[in-house]
Amino acid sequence: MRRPGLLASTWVLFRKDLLLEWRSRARVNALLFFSLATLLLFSFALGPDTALLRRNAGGYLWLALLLASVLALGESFRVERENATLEGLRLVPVNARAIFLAKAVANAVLLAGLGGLLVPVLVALLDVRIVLPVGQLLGLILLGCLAIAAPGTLYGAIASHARARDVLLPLLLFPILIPALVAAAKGTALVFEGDPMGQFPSWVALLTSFDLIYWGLGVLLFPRVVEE
Amino acid sequence: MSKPVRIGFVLFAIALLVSGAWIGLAWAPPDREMGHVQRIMYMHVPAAWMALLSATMNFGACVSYLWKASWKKDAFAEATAEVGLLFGTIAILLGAIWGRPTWGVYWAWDPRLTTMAILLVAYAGYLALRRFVDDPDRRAVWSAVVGIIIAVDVPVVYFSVKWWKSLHQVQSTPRTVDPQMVIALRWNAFAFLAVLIVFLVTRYRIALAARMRETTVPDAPAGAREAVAS
Amino acid sequence: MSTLTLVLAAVGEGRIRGGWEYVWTAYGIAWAGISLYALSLWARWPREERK
Repeated sequence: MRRPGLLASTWVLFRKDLLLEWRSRARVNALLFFSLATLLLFSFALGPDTALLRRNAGGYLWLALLLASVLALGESFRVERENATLEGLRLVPVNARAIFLAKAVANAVLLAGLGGLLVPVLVALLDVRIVLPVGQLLGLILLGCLAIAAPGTLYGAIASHARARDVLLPLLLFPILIPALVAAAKGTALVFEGDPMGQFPSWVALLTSFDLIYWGLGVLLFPRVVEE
Repeated sequence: MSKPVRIGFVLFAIALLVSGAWIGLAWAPPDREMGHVQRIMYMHVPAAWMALLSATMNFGACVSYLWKASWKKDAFAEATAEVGLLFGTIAILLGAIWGRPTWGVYWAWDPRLTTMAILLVAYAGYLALRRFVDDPDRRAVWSAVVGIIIAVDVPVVYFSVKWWKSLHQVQSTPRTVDPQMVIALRWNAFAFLAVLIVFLVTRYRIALAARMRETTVPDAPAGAREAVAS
Repeated sequence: MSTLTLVLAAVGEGRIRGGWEYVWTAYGIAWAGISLYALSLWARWPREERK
């Protein structure tokens, strides 16, 4: 049997991951409600001064996404682990890099979708205004979620086979993500408050560089993580 | 390394450390602005340098391991991570203590201190990973991957914090100009380097011994032999 | 010691007066950290090598 190409394998696996997400919609819904609960918690912990909440809304969005990502990534690999599907995939002549790309993109899409849904919540809950074009906000959310998904998928694969995996994943992931968090939160704050000094492109550049570096590292190192 | 050489070097390191302390505390002059608080720099800066040196060596060991696996490289990676964490913690604590009388606060999101703090949490995660993976081969490969990711992240973190901070106020950084201060700093840097070498060699031996214990097949228990024979 | 006196006469002790508590705390932490870690290394030294 001819070995399927990288792109073809990635596409097939990506569809599989999305199908799994769709079939377990309840899980995705739970993730959404978890994020909503997180935003509420932030509002209660740090409110009720609405001006303060509005100023920090960008930060809250990304903290909520970060916390949700830990759950999403953990779940993403728990399914694989419970059904030994990673081992199964390795028996089929599939490129390990395709597994990484498919999973990471699926996770990014899931998180970006979540982020998009949280924007109207922020507008309503924290009285946030979208000053810069909405497209820029959505693009920023996608870039940020790509930044979470790449090292997240890599570390998710590692943590799912270790002890204390629920603690290990965030412990490994969060320090690495700090530059992306800074860039995404600052960029989002600019979208909500206006950008008189034109700093938005710089934050996008930082986030994009981060994405390029970590997707590159992920593609490079993932085969070593899952090999026997 | 034979035992007398080892003991000799340890004594040498202790001597450098003690003399370095005297040089830093008594011989070097007080700073024009910071006064005696300046003396903290003679411990803080070398500690930070040793932490970064360890981190660099860890990166080298991780890359080298993925290139061609060996237990020695894995043991060295473990040693550099732990010892680097020690020196980094000392550097951060001393930086905060220095900050109180000079900046007025223990913490001011200084890019270098902040990057160091993030680095320390990252290496703590690295060591946690090592503790939570039982299979030695997987532990070695996975910690090599994590080590590489941490090292690549350090410059990214530094620049992002610098940028992030530059949106607010600018902090003054310590500068040592007086030649006596330079000598004090250099002497203590060598003292810390000697201590680093002692710690790394020792920790490496400990890690390697653990690896050997994990990977050699244990003798069959006495009962099993009888069970097989019958 | 005369170098020190000369320097002090010219420069003064600095705008921050004293501050020795900070210095001793800092040096104490550094020495304590190094000593405790050295102790932990000694405790973990593999049995077979203790000959």
